[in-house]
Amino acid sequence: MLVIRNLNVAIGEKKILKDFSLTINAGEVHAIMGPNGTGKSTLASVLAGKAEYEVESGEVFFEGVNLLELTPDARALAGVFLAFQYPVEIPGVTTTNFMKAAVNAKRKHDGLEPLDAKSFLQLMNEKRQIVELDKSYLSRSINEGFSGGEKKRNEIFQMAMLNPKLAILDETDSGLDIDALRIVANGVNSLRTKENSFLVITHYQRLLNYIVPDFVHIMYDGKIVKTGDKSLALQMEEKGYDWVKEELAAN
Amino acid sequence: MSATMINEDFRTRAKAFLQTNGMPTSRDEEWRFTNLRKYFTDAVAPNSTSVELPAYYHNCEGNKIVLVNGVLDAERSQFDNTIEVTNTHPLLGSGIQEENYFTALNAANYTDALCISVKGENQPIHIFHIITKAEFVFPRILLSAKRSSSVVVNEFYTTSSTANVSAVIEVFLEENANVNWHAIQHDNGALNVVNHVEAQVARDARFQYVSLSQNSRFIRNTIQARLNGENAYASLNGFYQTDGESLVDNHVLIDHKVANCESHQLFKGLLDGEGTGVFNGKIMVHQDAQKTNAYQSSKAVLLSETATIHTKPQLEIFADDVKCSHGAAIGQMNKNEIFYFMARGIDEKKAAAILNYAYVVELYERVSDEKLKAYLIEKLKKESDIDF
Ligand SMILES: Nc1ncnc2c1ncn2[C@@H]1O[C@H](COP(=O)(O)OP(=O)(O)O)[C@@H](O)[C@H]1O
Ligand SMILES: [Mg+2]
Repeated sequence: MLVIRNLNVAIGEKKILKDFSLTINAGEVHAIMGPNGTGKSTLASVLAGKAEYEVESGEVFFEGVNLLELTPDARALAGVFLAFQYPVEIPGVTTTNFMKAAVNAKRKHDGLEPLDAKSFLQLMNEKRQIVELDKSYLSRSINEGFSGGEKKRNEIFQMAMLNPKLAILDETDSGLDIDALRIVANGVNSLRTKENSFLVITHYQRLLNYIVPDFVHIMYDGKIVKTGDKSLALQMEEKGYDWVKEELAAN
Repeated sequence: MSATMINEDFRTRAKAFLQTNGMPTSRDEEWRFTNLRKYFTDAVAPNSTSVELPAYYHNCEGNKIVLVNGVLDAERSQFDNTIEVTNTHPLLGSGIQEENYFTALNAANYTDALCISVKGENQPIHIFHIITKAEFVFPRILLSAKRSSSVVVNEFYTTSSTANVSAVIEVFLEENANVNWHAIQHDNGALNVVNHVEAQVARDARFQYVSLSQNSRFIRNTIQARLNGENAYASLNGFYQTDGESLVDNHVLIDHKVANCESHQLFKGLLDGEGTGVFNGKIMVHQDAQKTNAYQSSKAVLLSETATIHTKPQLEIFADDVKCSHGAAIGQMNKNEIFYFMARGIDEKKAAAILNYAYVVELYERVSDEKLKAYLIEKLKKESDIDF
């Protein structure tokens, strides 16, 4: 589904991703763990198409299409979804209206008529319950005055509304209390199918108790340095990132 | 309408003022960023033969007053007998605290004033300005809102070719009166208007003003509210949009003369092309005006590299126990917000349209006449290609 080969990305003079490679097949859940500043959000942003990053070399294919050539909206319509680490607040636009525009853009892309008001409302009600998001949030300005946990739940709600093929979750768990974490994880698990894939970026192993990954990758200094199954995450949690650094130094 | 003698005193004073004062230049502090000569040229455009009334004339309910080149068109006007309409008024001219070139020009040249007195609760009053000639026209309006009365005034401009307007509006609010005034300055791009509005607000009275200035060539709004009695309230608001070479200049003044009053100013601009916006917002708090609450907020978004905005908040505070705040923000379209939309599959053009709409609609929502508000928002949505 997603093939990243030898991706090199810089911002300004600074090289962030260095020969980064990763392949994700349909239905797989991959977790990426790594210390702060190692380039996890950069990877997520580059996949979603954020402008300020410079792709120096390498390639990214999504279902055989060169993703790097698509605008961010075309990537989203193709089925890539990014749950932001820091979702923006947008005064004056309600989540309801935002989702109406997004859902109808997708339906148009798929050759479907816009959803009528009633069906849209039903869809919203169904999906917001997955993340236990109170109705009142949907008629408020996007993320405005939301707590950290509410913003993250709103991201997962949007993901549920758009039903992407590949969802990238950028530290959706960071800073959440255990209830919010469980809600977010349930949201993700309820969307897991044989076709949908997930790239779960996290700083902590804890999330992976709830979203059980098929693969765990350790990222350090712009690339993946170690890959294993879920036990690798436990090992990481126990020994800390220094363990990885030492192993790397020893090699 | 009863014909009364026009108050010659203030006319004579205005003529004398014009003897010694010409059209202001940019050396005049009040006109620093606004080059009048660029917009009011001597070239006389052909007069329009017919100008249609705007669609809302046919949609609205309540009182309708049509002013053709500033003069009442009795045939197309209709109003309840609860409002009193005359062509002059004892207070005429007394609502202008400080004469300036345009108030004097108007005083010296207007033919008939539109003077409205209201008491009790009233149906909205719609004033339709129809401009059919290129020479300067001088609408002169006075509203006297009696004790505890309430009224909404909705004002519209329609022109079909070049129009040059110098309007003066005096509003007198007696104790506990409530006036909501909406100036809908949408046009076909040919309107040049200098609009002077001055409200005298007595104790417990509330004056709210909303201007929506779009698709015009040149607009200067001088909006002044003088809070003369305790617990008076004024809220002055405006949205302005410029494109091409157009200019909108809002000069706003809230004059806190006595204690315990509250005022708000919110102005937002959206500037494109080579358009220019000017916002000058003054809050004056006199020595006796203790416990004043005064708030001002000004925002402008520049959509092009060639658009310009000049903003100047002016706080002159002579009392010591007051709460005053002001904020001015100037920005471009927020890239992170656009990206958030695009990451959800919404294309860039649509994202910008939705964000602009959200920015603008805040001022539309301040229109307190529900019917007019719904009409304007519906129109805005159509123009902005918004389908929710
Ligand atoms: N917009 C930016 N401008 C400059 N440097 C940036 C920017 N975004 C990220 N960086 C730098 O790139 C590196 C990787 O950041 P990031 O991808 O956010 O890491 P992570 O998500 O793993 O914590 C960091 O050193 C960070 O300071
Ligand atoms: Mg990060």
